[in-house]
Amino acid sequence: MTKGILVFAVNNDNIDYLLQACFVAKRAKQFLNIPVSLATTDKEYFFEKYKKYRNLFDKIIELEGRNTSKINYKRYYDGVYNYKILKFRNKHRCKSYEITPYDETIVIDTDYVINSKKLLKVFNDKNNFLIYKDAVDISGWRKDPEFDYINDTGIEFYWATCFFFRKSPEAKLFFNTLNHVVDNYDHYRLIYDVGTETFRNDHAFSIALHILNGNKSGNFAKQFPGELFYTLDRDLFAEMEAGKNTFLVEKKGYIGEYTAICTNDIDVHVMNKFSLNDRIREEMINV
Amino acid sequence: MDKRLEKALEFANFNVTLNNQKRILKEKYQEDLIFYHAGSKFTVNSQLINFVSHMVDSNQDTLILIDDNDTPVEVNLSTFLNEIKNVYFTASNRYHTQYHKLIKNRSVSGLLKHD
Repeated sequence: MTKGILVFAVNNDNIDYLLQACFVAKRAKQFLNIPVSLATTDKEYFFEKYKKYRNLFDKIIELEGRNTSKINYKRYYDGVYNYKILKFRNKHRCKSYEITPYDETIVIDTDYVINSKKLLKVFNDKNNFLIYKDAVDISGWRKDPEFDYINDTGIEFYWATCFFFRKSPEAKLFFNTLNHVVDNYDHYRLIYDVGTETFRNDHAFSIALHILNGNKSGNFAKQFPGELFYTLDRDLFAEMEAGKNTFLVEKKGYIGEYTAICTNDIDVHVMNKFSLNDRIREEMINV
Repeated sequence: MDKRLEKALEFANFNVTLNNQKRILKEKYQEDLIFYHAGSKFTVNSQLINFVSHMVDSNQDTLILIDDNDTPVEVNLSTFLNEIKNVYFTASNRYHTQYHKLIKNRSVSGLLKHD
């Protein structure tokens, strides 16, 4: 069975997701030694700007819809005070099943920083679809209910940041349902009272899983091993070495102040894209 | 600022950082205890080791266990016991070593530099 990682990268005016994808591929090679394929609408731009990183990838898959798919807008924070409202296109992830070149695929966000061999554990799991439901905010004090349920009276929240599937009827069923939800998202967001027009993969995945569980909580999807560690975009990514990261995390009760937290040998989902890209630029200089 | 207050604030900052680092180490330990056997996921703990060890002592060769996903799975006890002990000891030793390295530090920068 072939194994690999699939990353989706669609740039916007300010955030270079392609650079982040190159970094994911570099880290995957370093820690996991499995191939990484890149799915992007910006293939031409990739070869123009990042040709030197081509060897980090197994396959470059071109996606359609750069200029036709619906544009989302989202507030991107860079620490507590600064933010920009930027465009983003994120609806391609539901195509994972049809475009993946692998029998067993891990799909991760480009802002998932690999620091360990943890992801390899999923290939030992006999279940065909694994996703995170539980996550750990490394601040230790924030408790955001939107990461437990999609709203106060809503369904359970699943993270589309990192998931695993094996080519199987079960995984195919999930992606068929997911595609249906994505194609009819305006309908489903009203039915599920999502509250915002902004399309989020997490919400689409959560809705599709709720449908497949017979419109209730259930265990169609099994838990991805361990927990997803994350920092919010209100935190800063201060330093990065191989396997070791230092974050400045929003301090409880002191707006604009931070506490330093260091992680070692732990994969982290870093939501501050600006800070992440600064660290990646430093690290990619010698590649 | 009053020297005494400055010291108290410095200690508070140190204490917050120390507790954060302890928490992160513990989370990492929990992850290290995850173990796969025959496609099934188990979180190894002393209770599991004790139960399996007891079954081995009772001359059982195989046993049905319920994995983390509530799926029953048949395991061969002799190999399974060795594997879970190995996972437990490796993870616990690592946790122990890192924890003691961490608490030896007396400054915030020291806490952040420990491996």
